[in-house]
Amino acid sequence: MIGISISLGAFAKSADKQTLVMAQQIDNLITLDPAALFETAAQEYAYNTYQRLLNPHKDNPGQFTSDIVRTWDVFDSGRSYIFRLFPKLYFASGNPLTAHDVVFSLRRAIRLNKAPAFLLTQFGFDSQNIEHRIIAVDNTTVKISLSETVAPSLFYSCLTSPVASIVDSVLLQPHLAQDHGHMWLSKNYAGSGPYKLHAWQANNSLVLVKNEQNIQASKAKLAKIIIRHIKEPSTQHLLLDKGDIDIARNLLSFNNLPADTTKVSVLRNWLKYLALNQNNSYLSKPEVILAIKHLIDYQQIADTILRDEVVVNQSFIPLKVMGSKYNDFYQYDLIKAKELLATAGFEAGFSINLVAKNLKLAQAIQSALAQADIKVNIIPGDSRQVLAKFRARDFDMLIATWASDYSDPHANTVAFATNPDNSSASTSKTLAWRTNWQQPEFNIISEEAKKELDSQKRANLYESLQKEFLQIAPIIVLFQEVETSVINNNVSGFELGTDSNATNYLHISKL
Amino acid sequence: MQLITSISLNYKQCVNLFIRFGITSATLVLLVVFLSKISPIDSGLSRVGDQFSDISYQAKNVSLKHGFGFSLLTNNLVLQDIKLAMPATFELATAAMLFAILIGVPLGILAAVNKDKLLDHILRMLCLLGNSVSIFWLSLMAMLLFYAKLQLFPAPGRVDIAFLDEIAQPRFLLISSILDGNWPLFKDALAHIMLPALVLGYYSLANISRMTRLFVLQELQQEYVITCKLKGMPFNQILRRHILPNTAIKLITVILLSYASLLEGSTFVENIFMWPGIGLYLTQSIMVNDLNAILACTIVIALIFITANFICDALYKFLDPRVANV
Amino acid sequence: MYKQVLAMYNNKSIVLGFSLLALFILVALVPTMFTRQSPYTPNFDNILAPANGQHIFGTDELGRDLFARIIFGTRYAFIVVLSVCIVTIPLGFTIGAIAGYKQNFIGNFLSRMIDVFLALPKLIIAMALVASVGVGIKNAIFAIILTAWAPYARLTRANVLQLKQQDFILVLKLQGVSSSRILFRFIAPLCLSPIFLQAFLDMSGYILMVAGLGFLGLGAQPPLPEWGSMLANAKDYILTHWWLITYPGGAILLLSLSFNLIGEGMQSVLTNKGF
Repeated sequence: MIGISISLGAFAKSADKQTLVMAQQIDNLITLDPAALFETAAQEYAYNTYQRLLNPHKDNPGQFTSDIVRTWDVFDSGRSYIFRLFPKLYFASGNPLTAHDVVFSLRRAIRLNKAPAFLLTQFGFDSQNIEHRIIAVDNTTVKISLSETVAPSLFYSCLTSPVASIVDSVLLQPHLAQDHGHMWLSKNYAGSGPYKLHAWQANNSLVLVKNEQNIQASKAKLAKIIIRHIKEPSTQHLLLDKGDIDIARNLLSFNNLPADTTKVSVLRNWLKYLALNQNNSYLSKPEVILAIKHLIDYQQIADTILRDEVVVNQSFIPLKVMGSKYNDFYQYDLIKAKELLATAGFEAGFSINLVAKNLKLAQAIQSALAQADIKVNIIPGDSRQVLAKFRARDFDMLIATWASDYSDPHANTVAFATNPDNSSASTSKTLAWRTNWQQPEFNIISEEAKKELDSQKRANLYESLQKEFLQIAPIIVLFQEVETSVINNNVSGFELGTDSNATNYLHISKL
Repeated sequence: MQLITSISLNYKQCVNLFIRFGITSATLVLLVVFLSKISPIDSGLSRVGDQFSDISYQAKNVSLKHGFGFSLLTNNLVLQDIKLAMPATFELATAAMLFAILIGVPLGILAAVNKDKLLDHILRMLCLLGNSVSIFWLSLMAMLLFYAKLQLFPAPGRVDIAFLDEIAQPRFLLISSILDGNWPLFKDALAHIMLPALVLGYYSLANISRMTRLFVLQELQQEYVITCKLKGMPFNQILRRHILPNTAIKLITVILLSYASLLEGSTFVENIFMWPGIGLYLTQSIMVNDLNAILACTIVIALIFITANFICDALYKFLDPRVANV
Repeated sequence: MYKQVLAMYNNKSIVLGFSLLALFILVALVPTMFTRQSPYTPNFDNILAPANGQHIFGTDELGRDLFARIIFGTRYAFIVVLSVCIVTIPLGFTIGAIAGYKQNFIGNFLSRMIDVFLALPKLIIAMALVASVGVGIKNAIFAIILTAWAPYARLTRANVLQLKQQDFILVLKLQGVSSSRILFRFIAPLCLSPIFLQAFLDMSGYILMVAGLGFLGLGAQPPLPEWGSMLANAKDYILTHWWLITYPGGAILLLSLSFNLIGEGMQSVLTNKGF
């Protein structure tokens, strides 16, 4: 038996220099339609296979670049935008990429109205007004008019997200009949990015090949990229060790990495936070909230059990996003915490529940609060159960993760700080709503900052907002996640992006 | 020769069996439907993701339209996914079964013949271990040892990345690659199937060899063996011409039942070896709480199980009318 | 009966099995005798440590002593086995007895039910059940009970069918003794030994099943130190921290083995065929 297997010989090891094999959990990839996809792996796919009007600037948050737009302008105090495209652009199919395709794609995303569509519809678009608000003036000019003023960088940020990807209208034409071609595009490709779809087997593998029609692709060194879905981090580790894959994206433990491999880390826009439900009699006392903020040793947790997974960030605006400040506001102070609890009359402590999916962190919080005689009872659940309890406001304390929808401070401000209507009939159940906490001034400041055209004034508004938030909010932001990948040393040029829509395959090469 | 003495299965017994099969399947389906109704799980939530507004989730409950609706994992029809996954599982189960039979039956016979000697004790130990070990632990250990440390087998998965296109359609790789004359694919598929088949087959090996041993021992006690020995027949001939055929029927039923129970074991083995069969599909659907897929897989696997049981019952009735109808 | 018990003393596998089982029972009853560490307290400065002087088996991903967790996890294994047995054996016996004794509609219906549940794949149904209704060790136990009572019912039914033809039962009936009394006072004791045998053989199966469910995340939830869920957590660290997998898996193996040894030994003693 063993003889047979040895003689079967070279099980083709990791492929040649033109092919990259990457192990990644892509089981949440359920559709390839850029106007409908919302999951991280899917966004990464769309980022590399489709193009958009704008791209986020790699190093300067709040600034933008473009592959297809020559110049862009804003006028009418932030309500109208003009984009002028380069003349000779093509899709992978060979069809020309014109302003009409841009307009088609944006209108389609809004009409389709799937999960990510709110990124566009929040600017006042709906299926009626897009006919005159998003138009192609000529073959290379796109004009977009918003219903109200917003800060341009906010609008541009949303244009960089995959929902605004440009799809080939000609290719999609025969399939538009029922659902704007959603069923077809979920399993097919109609883009113009440097890589194009070769094959997708759901839950198994995703294969991309170089798109010769794309101008940037001439710089690309890899002809083929194979993404294997491997759920178990240990299996990814194993395969990386044996050289059967080049990059492992989801390793958990970074000790004892395989030989000849390196870690590549990047800060993501994902925040881990602790929510204290204000309808709980203990947690609604400001002294208790402040005490809890002082009971947690943030740095110790980030250095030990969550090492290589997080960095400390206590502000609701992620690090590296414009306006982020006061990231290290609270320090661990047991004595102060106990004093605060005593003033509130709780020196004997009390009992409280904690709903969480990440049990490492939950248990860390449990033992942190136990120092002040607060008995925490952990209620574990998977992400669905935790989310369901959160939305139902059925918890005392809860740990969750928030991923920003786009890289503008407005995204997280709305999520964490605003709560327009605290009743159960609210149409905007933000994180603050779920915590039963309402601070009306924050709603006002958020709207103001959204419309502020001067970037310096805007940054100042967010700064003061963050400071106030840190002082009184019952949502305690703890950490910001770090994504770490491990790559084989023969791979170079792999750039992890802050968001899943910024991890670029273009410059990867194998030695 | 007692191979087929008389097929005295009458019409009534036949109908009886079919009725039992029907009732069992019906109960299964009822049970599954009951589970889907009482389940508090909201399948739709994971589809749409976290939003601030109240969205009505389309896939809220298990939908029996289009047979179990769409999978949360792949966005394909669940039945389509199962159709893609079944050949993979069948290939794995068959390979495991072949291993179990080819090694297990001879071992069982040897152990019976050498009763209470060292070989017998070794086999009994093997069987005991086979019944006591948890199959997922064994797979993990096997993968660690044979893949990681010794590098005797290739990476987990059904084929190498070079052949990914080949498994996009449901097919039996080993058979079709031979038929196409595609030797590299055949070698690759064979190399990949070996370790999971060995692990999966171990439990059946324990069971089959133990039953073979038992049946052979029972036969050895019969009077005709002594008669044959007195007649001067060499033992090998006794074995071949009398004992084995007599145990064949019972052994076939054991093998059939074992085959069905392999499906249960494959849930774990496929999970760990990343084998894209129905077991992996089931465990992944459990992870995302995709009730449609879970219940569809349950029905498919259970139906196969019931069918195997039913065939065994029928075989018993057909071929050995002395078995009391309990 | 006495002869059988004596035979058991002499049977090697029973002796071995019982000693192993006795050890486990002792561990489950007085875990503190075996370890001073707590299985629950995390220690973030010492996570994923290999075996050393202070931690015989090393520590897990939260810094808890692995040996202590295995020791305390024995309780859960026994809780599961005992809960399942306490319910399934009487349940299976009752259903099987009624099915065998009564020939009316209920008896037939129950008989059909036994056949149905015998034909269903236990693990798959249990998985579907727990996945639908909700995870947790109670639901896992319930699921196992639902799928495990059928073998006992079948045994009982076969025995009852055989025994009820006997003369002494007819005498009792003539005397006017009620059916339930006949069943429970007279027939039941005669069925005990095959049921015991089946129970011991099945107990190892229950442990493997609950470990399997735990492995998929369907059984005991963290931070309970149940062996199956310990394996599920350890799966992520298998390459570099192999002890997290080996020791809990080994514990499952040993406990299951002890039940199997006893069962096999009992089988050779009770069936007396010497196989």
